Amino acid sequence: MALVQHESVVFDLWDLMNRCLGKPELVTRVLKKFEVQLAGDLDRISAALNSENYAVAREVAHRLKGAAANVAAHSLQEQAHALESAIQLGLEDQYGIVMHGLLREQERFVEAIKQIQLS
Amino acid sequence: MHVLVAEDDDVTVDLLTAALEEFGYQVTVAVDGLEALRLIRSGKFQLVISDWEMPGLNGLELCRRVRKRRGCSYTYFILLTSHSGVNNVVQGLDAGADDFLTKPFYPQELRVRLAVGQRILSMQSRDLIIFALAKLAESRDTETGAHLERIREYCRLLGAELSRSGPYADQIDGDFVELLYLTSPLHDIGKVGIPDQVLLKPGKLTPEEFSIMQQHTLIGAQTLAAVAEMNPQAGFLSMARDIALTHHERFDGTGYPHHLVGSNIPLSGRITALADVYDALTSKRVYKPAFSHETATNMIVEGRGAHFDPVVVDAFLQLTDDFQLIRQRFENTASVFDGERLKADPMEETSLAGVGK
Repeated sequence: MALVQHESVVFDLWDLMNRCLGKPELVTRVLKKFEVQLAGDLDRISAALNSENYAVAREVAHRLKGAAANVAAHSLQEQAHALESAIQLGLEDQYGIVMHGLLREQERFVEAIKQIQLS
Repeated sequence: MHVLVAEDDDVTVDLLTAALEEFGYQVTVAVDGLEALRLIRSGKFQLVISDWEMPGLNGLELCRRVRKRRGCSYTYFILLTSHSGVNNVVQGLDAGADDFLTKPFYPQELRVRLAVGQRILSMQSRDLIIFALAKLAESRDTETGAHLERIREYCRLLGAELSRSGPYADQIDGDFVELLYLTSPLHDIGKVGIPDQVLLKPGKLTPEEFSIMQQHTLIGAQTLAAVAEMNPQAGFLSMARDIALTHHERFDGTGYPHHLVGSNIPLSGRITALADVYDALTSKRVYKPAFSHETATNMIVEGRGAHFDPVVVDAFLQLTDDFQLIRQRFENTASVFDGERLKADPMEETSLAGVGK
């Protein structure tokens, strides 16, 4: 069962700029905050999955999905949604795969942010 | 205006706060549902944006608790969620949410949704202010009890009945009936301009005093017309003015202040006239006892086509049981605005002419 059908845009800067009312300083602040929060959330999800505390894992994945959507990190949003759905459906054999996808999207997101900062 | 944001996600809080402050709102953040509930109980917040999933108390439960509160002003509750689907919408609305905002949200969408909330809250404030104003004017009258509460109920009944069938059905819709309910309590607002020695006189008024008393229709209408002119968008003020001016006109042209005849009297005035007289007849005054419902009904029927619009009387006759029920419901309800009852000799006058002055 494929929980993520296609690869989305990693990050849409203009979408986020729109949500931040065209304020670059707000974009920067929100991205920094999200990057830190993302790392913490992924740690919490991993720990919760390892200890089979699926309720917490789903809760954090749900929150991550909302936050990722708000910063226009679309592929992270989809992976977080996939994990939340997998846990809701009890598809335990998918947890590892989807989690792996989440970590991969984290890397891509961090890389995309770096590219923006460099340019 | 203050907005309470109940949200445990820092990033979302940052985005919401920035957008809300940009739109001129003062923002307070609660990081969980229990803190949000505590803040709402402070009475400071009428606009709440709450995440659905939160630690402690989730957004749905928070909304339910807010709706269980009694005796406090309305809280406009927007659920912020990444949940989608009809079931979730139904669940949210069932919990009492007024609106939804889905993540990711766009600032312009947030702005218009909050504007809707503010509009609804201002309507509630408008209704309360209108009634408070009417009560304030009535507070100088010492024998009214829950007169205004009854009047607006009678008016609503008559309006709804007239809207169902008969010659006025095409003139009256739901909006008319609600406006009538809202504005009929203002019918006597002009009494604030009547001197105490006339307004509070326990005995029969002299012709000069009665002439002064009649001025309350003009004073009320002029006041409301002036406000209507300054606020042309407030359509309800026009109906309020019509009612204040014409609720003592009589269908045959023998009323006051302008001796209008028949359909020259606005329909809202004709309806309020009957409601006002029925209430005066069935209420005790220093100069008369409270007449029974049957006596009042007979007197109104006698005034059909003379004092009252025959069509409005016919509608009333369809509703006599309902009028009695309203009468009973408010029978022992004293208005907190009532002053001391005046002691005076009972007056002989018990005809319709002296009722309601």
